[in-house]
Amino acid sequence: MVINRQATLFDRHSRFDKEILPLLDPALRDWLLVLTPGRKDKLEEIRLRAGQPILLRFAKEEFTLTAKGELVKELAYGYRINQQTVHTTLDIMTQSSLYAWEEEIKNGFITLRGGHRVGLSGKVTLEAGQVKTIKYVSGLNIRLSKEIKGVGRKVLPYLLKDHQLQNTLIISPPQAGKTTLLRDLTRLISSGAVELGLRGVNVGVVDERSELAGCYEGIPQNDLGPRTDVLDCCPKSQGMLMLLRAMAPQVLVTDELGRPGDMAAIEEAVNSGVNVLTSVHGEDELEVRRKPSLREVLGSGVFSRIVVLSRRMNVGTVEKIIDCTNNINLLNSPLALAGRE
Amino acid sequence: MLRGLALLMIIAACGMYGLLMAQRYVQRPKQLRAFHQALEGLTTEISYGGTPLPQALQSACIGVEEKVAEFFSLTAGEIATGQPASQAWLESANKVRSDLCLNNEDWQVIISLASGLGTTDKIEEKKKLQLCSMRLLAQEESALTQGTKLAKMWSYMGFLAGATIALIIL
Repeated sequence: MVINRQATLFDRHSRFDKEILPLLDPALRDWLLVLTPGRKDKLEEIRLRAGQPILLRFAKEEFTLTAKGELVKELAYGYRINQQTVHTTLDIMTQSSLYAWEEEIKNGFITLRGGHRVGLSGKVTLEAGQVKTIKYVSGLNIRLSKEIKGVGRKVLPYLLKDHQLQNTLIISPPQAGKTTLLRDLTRLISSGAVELGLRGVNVGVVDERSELAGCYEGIPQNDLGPRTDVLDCCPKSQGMLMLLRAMAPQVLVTDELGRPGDMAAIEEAVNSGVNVLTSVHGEDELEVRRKPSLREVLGSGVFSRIVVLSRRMNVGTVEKIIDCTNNINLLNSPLALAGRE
Repeated sequence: MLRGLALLMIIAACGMYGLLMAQRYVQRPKQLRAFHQALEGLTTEISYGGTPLPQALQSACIGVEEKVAEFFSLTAGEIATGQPASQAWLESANKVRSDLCLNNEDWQVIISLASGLGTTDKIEEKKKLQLCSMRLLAQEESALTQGTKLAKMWSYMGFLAGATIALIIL
């Protein structure tokens, strides 16, 4: 899949300077400020662990910073940060209001302005067997949001029939571009694609893990199109029904199916005449069929298209797009695609 | 003539000082009440609204006495610019301390809230704020009982002291 990067290099590293740097412990800011624009562009993750060296993950490499602020690959030379640095960073990120992120923390992460996600580790406190909060936070994983527009453009034609989106399931292992593809498809469906004869339609997004829209204080930080309504941090099964009743969407989008009740909500949406676009973790459709919790997803016959992603060539490699009505991989039948177009 | 004027000025100056001191005793319970009110507001914002501290502090000080409101407003501003809440709380306390009529014991109660502010869940935050509110109420009660007596004493004592000095000079 060719990735059309509309975000310019300048936008990326100025976003880093504006949205990430001010949220770090002041001691770390000076070190990261000196990263070259090229490095900032490729930076994907910053990991802060109490007592361990700071780790920076770029596209395919991992570095640490020495006490002098130099980037090195040998972790033994890395400057070990202490728990106070982790706490100060978290304090600044949450504006000293950890309680305001209580629900997100139960899921193990918080979302920052700009859609960047920060995973937390530490001591988990339980209440009635459920996660209540994370105390004594000792590790932060800052994952930089990289909204890549245009990745869905090459996939979308295969998901349409008579200029209408078919119920689609994206199957993908972690870190293979599933959410990025889902987000861009959402934007395209909401905005419309004139060249494909697709009119923009109302889209409802249930963003249980704040990954698609990257909402900050309820406002989507990623571009999901002009006709998109988002329910942030809402359980999928409940959120889909809420959107159906309240927002009259023509397409419902949600990420990572798998909980009991998810399929029932999907079926209800489909029976109401709404098309669904969703995803599930897995290597391919065979593996998904084997998992007891996910067998139901494919066995239901709800989906007309299955997109299988991998990291084989690069993040977001589209392995297959299956037309479930005849089990044909549409990527191998360009004539079928041409006929539809 | 000049001497008489000087004596009058001494009496007036001492009297003014006495009145100022009396005013501090009158203002102290009022300011403690204002702090208590603001903390109640803050508790509501945090425990029911889950509002982040900068906005919660700004909302809590609406309708509260100006000088006390300034403390909350300053703290909110500092946190919004990236300072940890505990540090912002202490710094704001230092900045407004001289403008308020509270004593060391009152400030100890207020400052005690700084430690760990905003670092726990809603229930814990509510407990901490309510405890501080209760302690401030106790301070207010003692300020009211002691304050009335001391305010009266200072308002007379200033003039009396001035008159005594004038008599000695005479």
